[in-house]
Amino acid sequence: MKKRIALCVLAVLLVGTLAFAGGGREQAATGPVYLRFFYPVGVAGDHARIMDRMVREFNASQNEVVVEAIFSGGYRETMERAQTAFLSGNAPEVAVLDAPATFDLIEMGAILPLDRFIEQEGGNAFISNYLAGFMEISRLDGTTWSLPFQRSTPLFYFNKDLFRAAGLDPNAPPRTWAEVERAASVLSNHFGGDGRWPISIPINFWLLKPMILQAGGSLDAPDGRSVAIDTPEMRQAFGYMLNLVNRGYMPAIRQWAPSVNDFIAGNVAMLYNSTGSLGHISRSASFEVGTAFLPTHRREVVIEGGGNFFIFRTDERRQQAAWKFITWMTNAENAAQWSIESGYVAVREDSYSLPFFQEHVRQNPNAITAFNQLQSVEVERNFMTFQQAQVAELLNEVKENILGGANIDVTLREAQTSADRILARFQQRR
Amino acid sequence: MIMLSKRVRPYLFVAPAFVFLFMFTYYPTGFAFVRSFFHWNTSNIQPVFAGVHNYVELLQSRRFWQVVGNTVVYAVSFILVSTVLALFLAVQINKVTRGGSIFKSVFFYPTMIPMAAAALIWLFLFLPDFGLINYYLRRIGLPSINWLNDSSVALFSVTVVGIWKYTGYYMLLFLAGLKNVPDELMDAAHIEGANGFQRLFRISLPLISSHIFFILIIAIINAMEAVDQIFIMTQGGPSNSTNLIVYFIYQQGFRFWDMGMASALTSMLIVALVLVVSVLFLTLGKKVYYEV
Repeated sequence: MKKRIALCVLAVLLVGTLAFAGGGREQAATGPVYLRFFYPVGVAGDHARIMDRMVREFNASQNEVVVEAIFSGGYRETMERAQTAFLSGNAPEVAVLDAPATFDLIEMGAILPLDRFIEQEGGNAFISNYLAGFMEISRLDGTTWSLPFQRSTPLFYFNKDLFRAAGLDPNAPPRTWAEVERAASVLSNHFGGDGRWPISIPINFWLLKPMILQAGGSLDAPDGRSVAIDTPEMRQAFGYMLNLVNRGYMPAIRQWAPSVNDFIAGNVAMLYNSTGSLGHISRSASFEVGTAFLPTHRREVVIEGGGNFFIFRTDERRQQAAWKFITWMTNAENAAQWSIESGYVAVREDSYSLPFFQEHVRQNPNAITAFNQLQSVEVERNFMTFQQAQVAELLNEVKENILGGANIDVTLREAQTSADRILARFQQRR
Repeated sequence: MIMLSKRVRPYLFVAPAFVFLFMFTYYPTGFAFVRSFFHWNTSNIQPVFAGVHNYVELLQSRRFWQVVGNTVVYAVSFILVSTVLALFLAVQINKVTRGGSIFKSVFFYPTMIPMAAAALIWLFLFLPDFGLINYYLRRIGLPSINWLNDSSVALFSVTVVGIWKYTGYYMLLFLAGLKNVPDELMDAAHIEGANGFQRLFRISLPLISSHIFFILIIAIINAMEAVDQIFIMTQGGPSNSTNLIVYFIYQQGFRFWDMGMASALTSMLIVALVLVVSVLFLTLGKKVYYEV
């Protein structure tokens, strides 16, 4: 009798196991190649709709590759989803991920170097079409790991109507930290209180790095194995922001997406944000929107940002198909089209000579601000380390702590210790 | 057809449930416990034995203790307020002669909303400038509060959401108990001159002690597993002030992809929960009155 029970239990187990083992998708050797494509939407706006349409167009344009576009949340969620899928042996074939994820993706062995494909397309003649400022983060020690796609820089947005009302020149936005403070002070006489603020700099490590660079410092090491948090330049960046908070010009803590909505609603006159928000802001704002370079301090410098195309290690057939897809998505026309609809910077030099793109820029002068910024000031790599998500989270917390009133010396010292601990296992291998 | 003896049949019937419970609960738990002694992260896709490294690292980290502190504050305030409030509401509704079912529905309704949806609703209520709560505060002349972005109040705000969500459920459980308290006992006590408090504390509560004990256990579990509203409303911030243990496990495991660390945290949580619940069973559990 006991034997029979054991047999029954075994049967149930077996059925259960089989049911779960059937999860993996088998690719047929013939017919179109099926690709799963994870993508994030990293800013406010209807980018998912635009992405869906582009992928449909790609699928209709040929019959060898079928791409399924899978919206996966913000950058953070998409990375979580992609790495979990990879580590459980079910990686997507291709994904747009925050470019600074590169170190972690290499560390896991998840992604494929693209140099072989680039040679296939014509080597330097092909890759030099992509804006050089955006390629730096893709290339590590001579290997290219990704292609730029939804790329951006931080941008300074301002409400021209509110500038006029306050007697400020709407065509002369502040260009330095000191001028920002002066403009905020003028604006605060006409505007402020009741949930309205002259300026907003949302909590985000991405906006912190340019300020540190502008003060003459540095943050992440080029090899991504250390980060300098407890520095005089970090204190200067916080000095700038704390002053704005203490004078009542700026809310201490605002998250990324709400800060954009504050600006659109006319409750914030000046805003630090991403180029990627430009499409959404231009369409939604009922006032005249101005854009300018990020106000500088000691050094005229900005960082790049945004998402790149990564190809995961699968088999040759799928990798080739993924390459075909990402080169289509970033060809001159599509890069221009994506830029027009999303507000991201077109990643290709040759996009800028296309008649329809030139026409768009003529009608929307704001559309070219980010590109001009990349051309006229120094561009440094986005903040990128190993354990990127963890270190970035730490930096956001530092910002929340200090702007929330914590002691700056203690906060920076403790954060430095924490960062060193997180990165210890990578420093040992330096 | 195979005839099975009466002695065997019950085992067969519980077997499927047991198998699934084993596959999806006990096996992963054991697995996590084993893996908590391994480096298992982006650098070690194949786990490498690490001894107690993960535990030592956690116990030495400030962040871990901050999360433990947050969780204890959340749990204690959530359990105290939600159960006492639920008992109070149940006692009052039990006395209501007309419209009791309306009150029951009104208080029970948050239970039926998924926590994720509830968190989204509260996210809007808590908005600093356009939120309903600050609107009312301003109407009565009080200053606005930055409910979710101020590290001194954010934990309070997410606790309120938890209390709002579960109190109605606990109330219904209390009510079920109170309905079973025999009217004769109450009438007798009344005639003997016992006042309302005495009747509540000397008769009702001892008689529903099995309900109280059950609700307490459920409330502890609900408190420890709180994660949905954290994920949606604050992501553990600002300044890590609303990071509760389950969210911290999620962060370590899936955001930072340090599965060894996440396993160590999970193991500690399970041990802590088993300890708390055992202590309760061995102390309060012995005093509970079960109707036979």
